Amino acid sequence: MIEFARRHFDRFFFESCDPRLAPLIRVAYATLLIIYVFVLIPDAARWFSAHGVLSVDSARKLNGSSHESLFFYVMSPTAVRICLGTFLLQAVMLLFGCWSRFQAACLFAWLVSFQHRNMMIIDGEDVIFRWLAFFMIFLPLDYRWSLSQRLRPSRHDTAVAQMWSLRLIQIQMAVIYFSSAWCKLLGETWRDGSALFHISRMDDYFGRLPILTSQIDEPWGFRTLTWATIAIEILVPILIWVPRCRIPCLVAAASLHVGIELTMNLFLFQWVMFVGLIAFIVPRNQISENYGPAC
Amino acid sequence: MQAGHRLFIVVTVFVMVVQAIPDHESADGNLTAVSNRILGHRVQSFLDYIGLWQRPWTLFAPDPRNDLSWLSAKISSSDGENTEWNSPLWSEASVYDKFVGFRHLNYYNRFRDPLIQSVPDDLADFLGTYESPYSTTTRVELSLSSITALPSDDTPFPSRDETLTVLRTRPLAVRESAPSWNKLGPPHSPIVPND
Repeated sequence: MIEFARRHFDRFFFESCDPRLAPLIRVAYATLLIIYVFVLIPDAARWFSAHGVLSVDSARKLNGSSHESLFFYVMSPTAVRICLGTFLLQAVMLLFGCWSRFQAACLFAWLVSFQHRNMMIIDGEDVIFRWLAFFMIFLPLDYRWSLSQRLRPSRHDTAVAQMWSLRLIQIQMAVIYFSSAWCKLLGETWRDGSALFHISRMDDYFGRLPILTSQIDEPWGFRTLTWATIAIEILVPILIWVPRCRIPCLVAAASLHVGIELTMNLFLFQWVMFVGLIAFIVPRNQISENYGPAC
Repeated sequence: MQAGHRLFIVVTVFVMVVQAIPDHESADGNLTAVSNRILGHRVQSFLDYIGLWQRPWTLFAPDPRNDLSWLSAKISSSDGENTEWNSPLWSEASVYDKFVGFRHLNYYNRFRDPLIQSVPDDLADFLGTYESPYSTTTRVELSLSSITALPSDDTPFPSRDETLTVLRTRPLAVRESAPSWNKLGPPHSPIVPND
């Protein structure tokens, strides 16, 4: 029994994914991260320095004692800007595939430090950026489209064995959807179908493009969309593991994110979710090759 | 080698799943993190330290809020002149401003939650240092205003014009001449007051 479980565990994590997905994730992630850093640069001193809106003492109290950050010790505006510049440079190097796993490790450390320094400005998308950087440390990121790969081509079989971290990205995505659905079901407005009506009244986040506004004003419209959101968030993390349901699940999840992106101002949240969904793509020629169950 | 990988994978998945479980509401109405109970305070602290933490993915749950808020500050100088600062009113901001100002939006929105007192104090000090046109700022009064939609039994889903709202203002911080005021150079990223 243990041997059976171990064999399936190994097959699932070590033998069944196409390594071409890793560089695709690398390029998409690095592109988003460059935008992420660019938006932070003009306000670097305000958010992260001793001359900013949050003192180190307050940041420590706000976080609890266990979060650490380089910027609890490096506090001058100039030093913070230099660090943010290095962060940007490493994101560009990740994009071009220069020692990508090393860049991913450094980017993870930068993200931890900047996010812990000012938790007032971060939200769920920052958490996804951080976890994706962590998972990417273990992926064969330079398998394709990489300057490092031109110098030292990686072997196909080694790259396949390194794809276990892609499974972790998939599991993380499923956890996000399922946790979100669970939290929503604890709320009365999500259960009675009126949540989207209330969200449509949040003028700071809602109202990006004037679409769906008339439908959301109608009870049938906001109830349908509210319950559809919950249905997608419950079903996708379950059915996406069934090979036959993979594509419909990806379409449903993508539709949800496109809908939110068109109607709400949530910075890069939907885009970084798309990067996570890339992990579920099964290349057409993979099904008949030697990767075992669809990844 | 693979045994180490297996252990790492199992632990990582366990940690991800446990941390994403919604907070539990106890009998006295307080929310407690389930992950703290399952993983233990020490393990959770270690995960916080190395940056491998996440929280339940609430995403407008359990219920979306029904208010719009902004911050205001009255900045006084020793010669009796006053100036007023307001955080951006996001309902009137363009899509571009909301995108590049998203960190500001998050930051100002956090003030509606209960915070440790030093957070509004820090903002008041920042405004005292950078926002006063006078060289002798002596006092900053920071407050939070919010417009909250009132529930109605007659029309549970009113149109925007029919929505009844209530305006509330509460003081957040009053700061008298902090040591840093008027001693620092010009701000590197000035706040643009929303008139």
